[in-house]
Amino acid sequence: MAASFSIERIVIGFALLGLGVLWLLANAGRIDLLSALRTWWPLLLVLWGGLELAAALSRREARRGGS
Amino acid sequence: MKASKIGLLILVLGFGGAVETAWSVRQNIGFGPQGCRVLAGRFYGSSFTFDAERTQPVPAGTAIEVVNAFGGVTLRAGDPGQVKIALRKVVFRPTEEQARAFANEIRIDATLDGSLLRVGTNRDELENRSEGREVGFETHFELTVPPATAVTVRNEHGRVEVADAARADITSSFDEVRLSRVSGAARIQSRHGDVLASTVGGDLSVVARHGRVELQDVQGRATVDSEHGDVRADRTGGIVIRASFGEVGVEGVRGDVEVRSQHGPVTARDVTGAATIEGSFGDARVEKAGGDARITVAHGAVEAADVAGGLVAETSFGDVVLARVGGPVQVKVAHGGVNARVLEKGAQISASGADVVIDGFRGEVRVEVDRGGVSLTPAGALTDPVWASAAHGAVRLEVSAGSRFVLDATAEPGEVQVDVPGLVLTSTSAGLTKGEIGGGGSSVHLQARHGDVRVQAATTAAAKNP
Repeated sequence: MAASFSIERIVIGFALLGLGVLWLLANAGRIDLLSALRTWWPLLLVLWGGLELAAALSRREARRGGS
Repeated sequence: MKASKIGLLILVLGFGGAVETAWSVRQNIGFGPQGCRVLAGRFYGSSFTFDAERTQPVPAGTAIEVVNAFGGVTLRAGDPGQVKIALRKVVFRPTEEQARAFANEIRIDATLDGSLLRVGTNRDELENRSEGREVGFETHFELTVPPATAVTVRNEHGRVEVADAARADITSSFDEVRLSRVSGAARIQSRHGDVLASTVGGDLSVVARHGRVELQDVQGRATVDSEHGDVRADRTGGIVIRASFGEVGVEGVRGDVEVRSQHGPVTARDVTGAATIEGSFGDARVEKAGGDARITVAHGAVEAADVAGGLVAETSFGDVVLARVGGPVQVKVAHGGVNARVLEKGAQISASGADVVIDGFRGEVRVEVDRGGVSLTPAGALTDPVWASAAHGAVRLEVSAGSRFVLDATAEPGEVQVDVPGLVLTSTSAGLTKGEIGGGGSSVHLQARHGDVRVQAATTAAAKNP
């Protein structure tokens, strides 16, 4: 499972999930889509950065465990 | 970093940029009850108007300088010894109280500096404050100045109207400039707005970009530098126009006309002096010129009528049409023909791609045509030299009674037909005919390559072509 861990897939997954939810809420008339996207899109970068850090830490732990 | 990650990063940043752009556009463009709002957030929504007035005593001969932005400037002559300044303030705020509070801070600045009265507002000061940057406000000036005052106006985003001044110097942008009844010289610089000037007693200089220019009744010399707009001038002194991407029309010029135009047609009518036109990608027309006419056009037709002096025309990809030219004519056309009527002092014409027809000429004529024919009809008895050559076309000459000349006609391959009573043929061979009429005189040389030569009596021609 560790070999299949892919940051790109996770980011794309979260992005699609988030976009879908936002679009759904916008179509339901609950939110202003453009306003919500404009406010929250940098979260993609934050999320990605966090996942990259987590992956780097996990790799380091794995190397320590191996040695 | 893997290429897929770089691609994903670009995708995420592109998505963010698109969202930010869409947000910005939505914030600045909209359609509301007061019309379309395009990138002008400060000047949108509710507005309230407030008036202020001030009277400034001035010594005789004081000049006025008005500096303004986002509002019109109107200036007229009134009583001597004083300048009346009326300022209309339009403030864009949601409530009248907020608008009034802001309007109370807008003041008229009028400073007498020697023989110059400077008039303006404290707009710069207000706009440097954080609130001022957010609030849209217009300042419209109406000034009444002593008669015969020299006026300078610097304005942006507002209409300028000046009347009854001694001299005028106007710089304006993004709206119209109207100038009328100026006794002396005037100068106008305008961007993104029309310029309309009438009844100017001295010289007038106009520099205009992206706007129409209209001049009327200029006593002095007029100079116009225009780009991206039409130019129209009626009843002016000598005029010089440099124009591009617009139509130029002048009429009633007391003096010379000089037009340099690109990408637009040019018309000059009723010119007492000479007319010089250099143009491209547009037709050029001169009607009624008292002096010489010189017309050079690239990619356009040339038309000239009632020219008292000589005419020089050069063009390409267009025909030349001439009527009633008093002086010598020189025409050079590439990819076009010539149709001329009543040329009083002869012509030298070179053309290619179409026929040259001259109906009613006097004086020496020399015509050379490639891929076209030549048709020549003298105004009366032919006594002056004629030299006509056509390649891939026929040459035709009509001969009136009383003509005197020596004929030398060549058609190769082709045939020479001569049908003129009294014209004695002295030599005839295949494609070459020589003869004389009226005892000889000037040389008439007609030459056709890949075409026929036909010399016929004027009456015969009239009978055959009624």
